[in-house]
Amino acid sequence: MIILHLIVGFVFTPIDSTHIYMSQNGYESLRFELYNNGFFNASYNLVVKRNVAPSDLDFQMCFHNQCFLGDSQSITVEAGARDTITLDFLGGNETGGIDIYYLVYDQHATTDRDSVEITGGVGIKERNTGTINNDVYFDGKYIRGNAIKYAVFYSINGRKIIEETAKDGRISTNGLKPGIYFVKVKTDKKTVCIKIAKETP
Amino acid sequence: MSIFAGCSRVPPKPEENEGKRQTPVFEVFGYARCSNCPIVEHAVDSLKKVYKDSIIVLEYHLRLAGDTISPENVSDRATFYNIGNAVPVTMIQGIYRIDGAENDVPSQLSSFQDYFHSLKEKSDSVGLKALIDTIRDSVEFTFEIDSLENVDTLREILIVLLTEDSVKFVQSGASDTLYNNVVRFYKEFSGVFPFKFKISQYTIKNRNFVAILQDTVTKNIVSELQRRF
Repeated sequence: MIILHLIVGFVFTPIDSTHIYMSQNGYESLRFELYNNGFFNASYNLVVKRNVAPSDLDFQMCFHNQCFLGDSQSITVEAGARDTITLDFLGGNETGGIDIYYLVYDQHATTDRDSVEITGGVGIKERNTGTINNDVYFDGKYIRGNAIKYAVFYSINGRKIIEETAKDGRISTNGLKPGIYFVKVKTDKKTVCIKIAKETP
Repeated sequence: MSIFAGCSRVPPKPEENEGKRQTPVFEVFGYARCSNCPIVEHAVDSLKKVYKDSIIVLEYHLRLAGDTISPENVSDRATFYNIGNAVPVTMIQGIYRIDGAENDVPSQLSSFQDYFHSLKEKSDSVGLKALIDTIRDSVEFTFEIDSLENVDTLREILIVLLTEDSVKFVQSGASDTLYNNVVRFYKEFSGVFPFKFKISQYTIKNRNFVAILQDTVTKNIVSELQRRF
């Protein structure tokens, strides 16, 4: 048995954390190392087994400078070589938990020889920074945009909190406590409403 | 550009293709979220910048993992070359296939340049030409070939494509947001020459028009032409 193991042995280990959290239509990536410590070049089948996962979550495996879309793929590793495999999680619109097994089969085996459990989830996309509106956006500290004049901040319940005038083409949110706000922003041409999430500094 | 100036019919203008040398055709298959594709795409974009009209670059974005910037029927092209869900794949002149990418853009560029230089002196024995005619809002192409005896119309297909530069596509997990030489229109024809094809001026405007004549058995691209509108 030991001799057989030396002939066809391999080690499959995750390089990154196997907990993954991503937002809708988001993207995350995990790396694994596949070490062929046997005496011969060998082919392996890599398979994603979905226990729990959003139905529109796609998987992409990248190795040997090529990417393969799908839940299974075979890879050939030279004797003594260590190959890095990237497993990409390509999120869709659906949210939900993730509990999958990433299995490695020997080329001729009918059952997996090694596996890694990956857990996590796909959450609702929170647009707390970056572009929210084509004209006006929140960068985490300031509301910015073309020719903005002033902004009125409302709580999530619709209560008016504060009104701020633009200085140097931006509106500060320093006076706000962390939380979710609706902001009515007046520019020289129109008024736009955006939702922002002020985070703890 | 004058062909777009008026709505009246203008005399046919011969395509500037002497039909003596082939223009090497590089076709890249990928999709936005493919992490190895940018190496190949940037390399062929560099080739196009350097060699301009002496090279044809076609980047097909397959409808995989949410990519939508090429039309759905580019999958016909992928099927023709037996390309599945593993990308990037580069086809050069229809006959040389390169699976995957090099480790970096300079290495990839160097590899592609070798192919380019070996193909650019190849003679074009068919001589595909296009007469261009403007009728109201449409542009009509009449495709002709210099030597009919070198063409087997039962085996060869004419493919008409439009490519576009600076196509913006933002997607989580995609390393690029601007894509060049993207195939935005794809249609295959088979038949006898001369062959007429009509397309709207608005579809073709600011895009690169490409036509290739390809042997469906050997997959060799026997003649090609391009013109920027």
